[in-house]
Amino acid sequence: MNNLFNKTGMLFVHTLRRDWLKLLIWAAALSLFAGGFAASLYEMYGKDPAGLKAMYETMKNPAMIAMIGPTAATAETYTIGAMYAQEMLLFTALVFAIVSIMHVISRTRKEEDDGISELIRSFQVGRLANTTAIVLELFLLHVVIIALSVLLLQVQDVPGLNFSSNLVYSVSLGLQGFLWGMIALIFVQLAAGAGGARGLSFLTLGLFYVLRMATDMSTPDASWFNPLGWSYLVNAYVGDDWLPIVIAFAASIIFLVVSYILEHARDMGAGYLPERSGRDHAKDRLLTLPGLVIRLQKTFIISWIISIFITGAMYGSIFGDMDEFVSDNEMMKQMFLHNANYTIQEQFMSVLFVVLSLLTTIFIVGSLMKLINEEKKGHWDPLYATKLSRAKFYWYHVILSFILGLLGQFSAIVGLYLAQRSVMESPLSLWEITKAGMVWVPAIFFFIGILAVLIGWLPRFTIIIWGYLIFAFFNSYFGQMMDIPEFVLNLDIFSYIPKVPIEEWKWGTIIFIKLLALLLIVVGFVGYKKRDLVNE
Amino acid sequence: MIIAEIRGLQKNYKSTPALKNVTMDVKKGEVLGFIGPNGAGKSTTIRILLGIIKSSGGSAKIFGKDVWKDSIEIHKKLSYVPGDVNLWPNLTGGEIIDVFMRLQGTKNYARRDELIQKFQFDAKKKARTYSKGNRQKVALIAALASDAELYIFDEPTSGLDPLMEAVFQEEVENLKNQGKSILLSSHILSEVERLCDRVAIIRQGEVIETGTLDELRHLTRYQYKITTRHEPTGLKQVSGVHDLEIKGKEAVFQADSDQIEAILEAILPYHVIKLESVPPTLESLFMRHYTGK
Repeated sequence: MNNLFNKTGMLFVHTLRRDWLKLLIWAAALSLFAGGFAASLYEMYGKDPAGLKAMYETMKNPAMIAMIGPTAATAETYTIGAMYAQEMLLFTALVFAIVSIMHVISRTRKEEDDGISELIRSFQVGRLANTTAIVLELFLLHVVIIALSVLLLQVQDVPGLNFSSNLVYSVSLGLQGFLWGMIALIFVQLAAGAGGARGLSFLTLGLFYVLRMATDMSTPDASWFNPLGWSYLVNAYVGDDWLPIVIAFAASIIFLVVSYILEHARDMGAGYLPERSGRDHAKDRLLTLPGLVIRLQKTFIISWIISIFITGAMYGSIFGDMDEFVSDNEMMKQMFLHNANYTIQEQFMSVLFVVLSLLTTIFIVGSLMKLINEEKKGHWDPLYATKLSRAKFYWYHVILSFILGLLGQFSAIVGLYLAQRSVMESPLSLWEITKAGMVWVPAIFFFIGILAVLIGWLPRFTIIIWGYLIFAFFNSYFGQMMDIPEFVLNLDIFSYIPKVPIEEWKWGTIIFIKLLALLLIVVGFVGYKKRDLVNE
Repeated sequence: MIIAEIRGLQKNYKSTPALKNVTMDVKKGEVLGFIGPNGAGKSTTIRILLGIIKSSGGSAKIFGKDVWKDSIEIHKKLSYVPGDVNLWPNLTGGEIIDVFMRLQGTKNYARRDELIQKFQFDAKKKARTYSKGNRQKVALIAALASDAELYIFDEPTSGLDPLMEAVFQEEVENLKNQGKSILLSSHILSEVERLCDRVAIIRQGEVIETGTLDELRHLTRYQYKITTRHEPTGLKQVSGVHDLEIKGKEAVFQADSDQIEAILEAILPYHVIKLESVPPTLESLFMRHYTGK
């Protein structure tokens, strides 16, 4: 029998040599994300038991559980550790999962699509060797991350955060990264190409996130059947349960074996899911540049609009529980009713739209990014060689992303509106929700502006925009939790947007940011018109 | 001695057959040309031989071993260059050549450097900057530097300039002289004519002809161009003459190779003063098989 794993070691070393810098940056960033904030959280809440109690009550809010996951702690056991685990575990697990999915697919199916694997397999390399090398690499990466995360937590020496709990917390996170890598590996085998594998993996991740939202609130036991649940179910710093970790590890192995079997039984380059064959000829509307641009992004646009709509609806669906929750709870009543002008839903909604707007921003940054990515791949070359002007390319893409920004935000609004209308006795009006959502549009457009400047002047460094986006996300999510210097906060465009309806609508700010975005886009255009085309 | 033995090979994708019946051999020390139009099944056949995809029927053996089950054993003495080489963008060409050689199991660095020189290859650049031809060179250098028994080239010179093509042909001749076996799939018929001992022609998933070029030529027609003192009208009646064109005292026609004697007898009375004959090129062979001309 053939050795299916021949030369795995050599490929493993080779992969490490290719990826070491990337892995190093990830290991640092992800472990910092996982373990870096314990001390600052302690500074803010840990010293005052009353503060922790207040946080506990806030976190019991169904809306909070829906977003960041539950805690098994009671008011008495809600220590700084329990709070840290609740706030961090699920969200960090999502980040870990996304990174793993991207990496696994780019190192397996992407190379298969590119034809590199074919050449590799013509050497004395086993059929499963490349996959195994990547699995080993991913495992090693997460072992390092776990070690660094534990180390970071230990070094901060926060009272109440002991070694064994730090270990449970870090291992459960690291395992989430590995686990989702293995899930992605299954889709690598099933799908007909890297794009399909990526789409299916993220769809699965999204579905399980939504699913746990429902089960966490109604039937917490059902979350045991959810891979994402295996993160927070360890109850780090409260019960320190290793069982979910064992389950997650066993599941990873099972997924790996399944994908081995699937990979072994399929031809290289083939998948299991059927591929539709397309049309013979282009439809008329494909034959215009705007038609082509939209057609190329069709699947991307539709899936994002639907995802944003569902997320909005998800948040809307918990509005009904919030009244009950507040009226049951004396302390919450005080907390939320001190601002008696607004209902708890209105107060909550103003925060919600930060998250929804970030989603829309990711969506349209991804859309405008196509302008430069297709250029780098050389796909535009035949079109640039025609009478089409660069101005058209630029403006069609920019205008499309504007429209998509409005559409994305609006689908969040409609999703939220429809869902809350069905669960609330006196629902919010569409107009009220629209105002709360649309106030963020200038900030979303500002991202288009920044990206436009990058595309026009620094086409090789457009990836910077993701950095800025992560920074904005980080600021919005952790900004209030931590002592972040004022000037850093001010760099985040989202911080300038009034949180309607709690804060007042400010025409001045809104128009100013819009003009700024427009100016950036014009600046980008000047650069784009005169620069050399780039390719990878 | 037969190095690769392929018998009735089939491959079906879902319900559509990609290969219906591929039967051919590669003998030791020979270059077998594998020709056919796009989509005829050349690359599918080669991928089955490499054990990358599994055949649906028939058998394929290299060095007497099954290409699917014993692929690793086979690959120890096999070298492959695909027609479209993709590389890791962030490694240099030199690094990639070394990785390929390690994976193949060769350590002949002197030979590698000689080839880098011959192909005038700049090994220090990152692979993302290479043109198609340069990416091709990476795979060619790694393959030619390795010590294999069987070399499989799938349109290896696509993207190479004529100078580099000549270098490649020279290297293939060297390999042949060393007794190595080569399977060369190619579109460039002049290259096949120059290098190959035998040719296998594939059409719609089926090998329809195999043999030496001379053998294949028997199946087809020579082209004649004659000048005579009198207009050779008698040619019109001779069987075995095709596409006859007479312009005064000059005539151009195709002749079946088994009818040469009769044809010569027919034209002698017109007093031949000039006779040119062109043997059938691979191109005309190819055209005849595919367009029916």
